[in-house]
Amino acid sequence: MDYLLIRMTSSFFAGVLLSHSGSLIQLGTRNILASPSTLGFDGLSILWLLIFHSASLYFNFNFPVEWTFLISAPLFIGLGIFFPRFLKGHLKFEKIILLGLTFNLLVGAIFSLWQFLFMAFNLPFPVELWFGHFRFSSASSLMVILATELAVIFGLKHHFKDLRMYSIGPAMTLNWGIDEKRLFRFIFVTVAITTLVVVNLYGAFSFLGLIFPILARKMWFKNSDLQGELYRGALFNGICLMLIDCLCYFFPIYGAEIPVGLLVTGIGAVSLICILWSGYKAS
Amino acid sequence: MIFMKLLQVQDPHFLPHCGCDLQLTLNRGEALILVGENGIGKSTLMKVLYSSLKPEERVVVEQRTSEYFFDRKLETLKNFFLSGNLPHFDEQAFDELWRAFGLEAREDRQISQLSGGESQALKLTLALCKETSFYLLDEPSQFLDDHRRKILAVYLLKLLEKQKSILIIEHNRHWIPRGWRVQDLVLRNDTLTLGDRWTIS
Repeated sequence: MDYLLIRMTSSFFAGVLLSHSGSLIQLGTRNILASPSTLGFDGLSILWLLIFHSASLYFNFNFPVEWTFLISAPLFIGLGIFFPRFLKGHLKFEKIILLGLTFNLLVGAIFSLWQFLFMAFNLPFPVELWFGHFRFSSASSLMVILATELAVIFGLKHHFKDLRMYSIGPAMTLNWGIDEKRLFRFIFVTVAITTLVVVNLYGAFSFLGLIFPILARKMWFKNSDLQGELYRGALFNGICLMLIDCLCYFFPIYGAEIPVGLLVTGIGAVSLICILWSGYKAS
Repeated sequence: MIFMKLLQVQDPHFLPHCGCDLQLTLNRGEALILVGENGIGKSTLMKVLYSSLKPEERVVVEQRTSEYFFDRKLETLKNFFLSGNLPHFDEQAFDELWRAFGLEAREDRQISQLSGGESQALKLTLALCKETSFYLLDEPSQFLDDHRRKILAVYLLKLLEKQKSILIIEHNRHWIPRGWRVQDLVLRNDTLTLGDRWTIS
């Protein structure tokens, strides 16, 4: 297949996955500030992949990224199953977000230190983990992301009624016999796995999981209920990320392509500030 | 006929500041109002009660204020309930409450645009449209005006006629129909226990 076609399809599906994981995590936590970035899923994926990369170098393994995903998946499924317990504790949600952001900062510091050491010893370092891009998209990585997306869509179809009921209110869970544990397991395992897939294959796109669902909600949700956000909204967000990636590809600066992750992290961070500011003004 | 012994709690660590030692029974077709001072554990007791019942045999209306995360039109919500094929859904009851509480006239509004009373009326409608045996309501009349309180009372009386059992925690007793049993809950020796019992006259 043509490189550009693979790259565009990959960026589209990465956008769709990020939109799904953002919508699900915000629905599960009932908080618009929740996202894979603000709750530390991004940071954990980066840290894990960094450890994995270093171990591969040390033991002289050479796994392709698709195999890295398969090896790491059980760990992240475990994380998804465990995470709801953490939310049920006595910590206020704002504190959990602060914890997630602090963890991301810590991972950032570890990442820089690690990069410094690797450069000092002249070892290859996966710089693209922190700011993702689609330069190295391949047919096999596209297959992985496509398979993940199909699994997510299947899960969404299967749990849709419960998700919609849960979106009305927690009382609905009590009254209409929704298995909250099962629903939470689906939500957080999906979030953990989709984050791992995207970070592993293309690197991190921080804050996209936060801003995409809000965009989708604003544009579609009022008219079409939850399916508007989960399907049409995700489609729109996928197209958005694909277009931003096309911009980076077709308009390099002095021959160098800006990592799309860098661009969208900037946009996402500004958006987060705007959301917090508007919340502060409203209060 | 005794329908069910609802609860027998003997827990010295019921709340950080008190234990609990009480036994409540609720007959079929009977309403019981629990009253008591703020902070003695009435809402916690309600939670213990509903967790002791199977999901299909009870409906709960909690005291939470921020119930809805996603904003949506009332019309969308109504369509979801009517077409959702929900187990134990009583369409007639839903229609009756929806109209009586005046939600029909608000169908084109978003949930976020409802007043406190309308929002509470919506919460009650979405809960009471479930056909079940036990209705556990924690301060159901909060934010409701007199007219809507009357609607609630009339609907609850209809439930009693259908031999349903109702347990209510309430501070405001003005809207409660005559003849309903009231059970006072008191703290005695740092233990939540039963106090006086009387009937609304």
